[in-house]
Amino acid sequence: MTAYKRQFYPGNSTPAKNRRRVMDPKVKLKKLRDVSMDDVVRIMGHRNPGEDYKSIHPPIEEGKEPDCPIRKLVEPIEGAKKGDRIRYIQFTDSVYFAPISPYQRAWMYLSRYRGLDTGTLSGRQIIEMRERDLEKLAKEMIDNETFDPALTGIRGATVHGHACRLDENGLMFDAWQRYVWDKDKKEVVYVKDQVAIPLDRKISVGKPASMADLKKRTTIFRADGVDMRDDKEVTAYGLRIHKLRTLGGYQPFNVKDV
Amino acid sequence: MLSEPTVEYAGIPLPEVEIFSNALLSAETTEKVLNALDPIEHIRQINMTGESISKNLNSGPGKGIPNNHSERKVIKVGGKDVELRFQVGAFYIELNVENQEMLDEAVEKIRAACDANMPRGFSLTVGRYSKYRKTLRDYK
Amino acid sequence: MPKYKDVIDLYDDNGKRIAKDIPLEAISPLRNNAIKKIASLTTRTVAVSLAGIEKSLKTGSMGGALIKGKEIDIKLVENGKKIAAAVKDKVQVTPEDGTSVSLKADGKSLVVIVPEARMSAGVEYTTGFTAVASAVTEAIIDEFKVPMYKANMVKGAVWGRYPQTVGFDGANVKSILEIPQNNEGAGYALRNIMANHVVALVNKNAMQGVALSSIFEQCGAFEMGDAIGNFERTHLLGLAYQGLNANNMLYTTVKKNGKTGTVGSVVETIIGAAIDDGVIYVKETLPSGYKIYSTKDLPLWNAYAAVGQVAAVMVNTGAARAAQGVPGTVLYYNDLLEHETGLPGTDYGRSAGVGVGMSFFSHSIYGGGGPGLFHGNHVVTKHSKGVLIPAVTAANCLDGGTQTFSPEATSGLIKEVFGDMVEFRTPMQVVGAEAKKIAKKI
Repeated sequence: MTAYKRQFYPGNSTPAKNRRRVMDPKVKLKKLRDVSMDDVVRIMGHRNPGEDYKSIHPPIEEGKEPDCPIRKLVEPIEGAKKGDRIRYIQFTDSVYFAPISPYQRAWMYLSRYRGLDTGTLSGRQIIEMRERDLEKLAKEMIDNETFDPALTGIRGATVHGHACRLDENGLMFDAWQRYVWDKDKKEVVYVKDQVAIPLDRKISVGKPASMADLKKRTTIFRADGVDMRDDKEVTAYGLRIHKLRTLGGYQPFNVKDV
Repeated sequence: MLSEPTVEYAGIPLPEVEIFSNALLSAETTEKVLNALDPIEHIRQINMTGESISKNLNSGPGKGIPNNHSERKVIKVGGKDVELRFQVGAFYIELNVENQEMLDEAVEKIRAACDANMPRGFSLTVGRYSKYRKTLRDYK
Repeated sequence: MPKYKDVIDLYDDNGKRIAKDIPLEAISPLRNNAIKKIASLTTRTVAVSLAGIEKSLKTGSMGGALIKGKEIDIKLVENGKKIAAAVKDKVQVTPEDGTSVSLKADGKSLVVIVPEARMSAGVEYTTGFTAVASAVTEAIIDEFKVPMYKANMVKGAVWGRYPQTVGFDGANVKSILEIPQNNEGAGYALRNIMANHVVALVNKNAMQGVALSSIFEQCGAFEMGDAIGNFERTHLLGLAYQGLNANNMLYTTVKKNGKTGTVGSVVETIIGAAIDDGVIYVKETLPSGYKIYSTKDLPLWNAYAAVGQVAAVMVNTGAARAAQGVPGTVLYYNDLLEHETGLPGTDYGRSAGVGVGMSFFSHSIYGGGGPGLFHGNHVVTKHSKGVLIPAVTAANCLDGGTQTFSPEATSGLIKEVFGDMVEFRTPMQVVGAEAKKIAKKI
């Protein structure tokens, strides 16, 4: 018996390879910036830095849980042990070659982390998790290569902008202008938290990447980048699943060696 | 009660120039473009579209507090105040011209004005993009 | 001769073997008497809240209305034993016919099991409810000598607003099942049991919860006309592998991924198992190195996928000790599985589809609600028949107290009344023992 190793995703194109890269938990994603944990907490706006975590239920004590074999097998994450509230962070990813798109975020999170609830909408992606675990994950996601200061937004509400044209500085539109362009430093600076409550001090998330660089890094197929139709493996995969779901929905017992 | 449309319709399909910007424009650029268009003859009216920016936060825990968006402000066009409520992405310029020659001349002036003020580029097309006579919707 | 050549080993909730080399049909609801008994008890067992009736009569508040001047002040709970005896006398057909009437919670509740004879003399499963409701009404009127002009109050306190309403709104008699009029379609009765009720029935044991939900759902599949002919095997495999921990696959998958695993690593484990067991094989290797998998037995692959679906939920929502992640986990588990193999996910894509809609309905995007309120009789969940709701139950069993709509809030009475019935609390053992018993006879 040889242990199976995941292959993640078909395709030979750059976006396909990049998709495999973000999904593979063995690949350590590049850290491009270091936003301090206190600043991450400020941007999320669920508690003040240094403030105690609020809890929704008493701490989980070993041996005092309901008698369930699965609870004995599945180790709770830190925040669950402490009974933390469940809080969220939500990212908006621009269609203009953002490093990652919302749907691949779900694949990435669920391949790399445990104990989270995630959901994808057209232009945004929410993660809900126990507060202290969420903060760690949020910092990693803001610091690493899947975040671009100009093309990724941290937005709890009024997330609109992912499919809008970029502004003159190359920033994704935000009706609540949570972040602004610092002309002198050529950096993106957060001035409001994720629900647009003004921050008491500005938080820099660094310099945006160049379009040429982003086109190499993105997981997004685009007609003016890499067209999905040009990656035969990816298109063939989509057609195959569609066909097999249909045949399986009709007479699964007759689907053999397809 | 009948209300009149904000802009009087021409009644005939006069040509329109669509300036579709490659980037969403800052208030400053919008002001520059409009002031460059202002002296051009035969412009009957200019309509702008873009992404809406609310004055106050309209949802979430901060509902009601001022948005303070730098691009939502009053600009000066031809000496008059214009309140921008959008981050502008396109201009629709209606031309009161009588023949092709007049049209070509006006379009070239518009193109030059945009070239000088929109460094991120734009596309320009001539056609008819909006209503030119009243329809049922104008009587409400 | 068994109809199918599939042979399975059954394991309990702790991964201990109950029975070896069992023919698949031994766990069929059509053959396994323990499953039949679970279905039968579900229709025949009815709970009466004597405390509720007493309060209702005392205040005149019943079925959403308040009727002044006709209050009845009687000590119903104190006289619970008398009422129980009277009810038994009325419900029982012959001695030792399986009728059972017992008092729970210091006489506050009464649990009645109606005899089979009453069920077989009718065609509708509401017999259990109606017989008990009427018997209780009569017992109270007789016992406390309620005069004619106040007797209607007793009916109102017991039955609730019915028949002004379609359902038994405000009734102090409860059944695990909803009324037939609330079912989405023919055969949906056993699918109309909310996940929280199952959580309460199994006392939050996730393995038993999955088993009981799977039994209810797959019995539903038979009743809906889904599990017949060539389709029967798909449902039996789903019940065996996902519900009854066949070959210990569910338990070992969770065990392997319990400490540090993710949804992704569960996908890895399940595909590894499917390859090792010869269920899937590499059909083609593409230029990128990507391997397309195929199978000679799609229903069996589906059963493996269904096991992974529950395991992924157990690992991910279990690690969170929060049920809310179940729709997302179901969706992306199947999506990752499909991208990994080129084979369709659980229920040939239907579970993933349900995951999308359910994310909406369980996250207050579309009104209030929570995963605990879900059952297979919902416009969003009904399409994935048999294999989806067990995953929802698993997540709710593992919740550490994050839900507004918790089992304590929605299903307290169910737990109090049915919580110690062995058929509901440990269905794996009960069904497994019966399967072992009948294995040779098939």
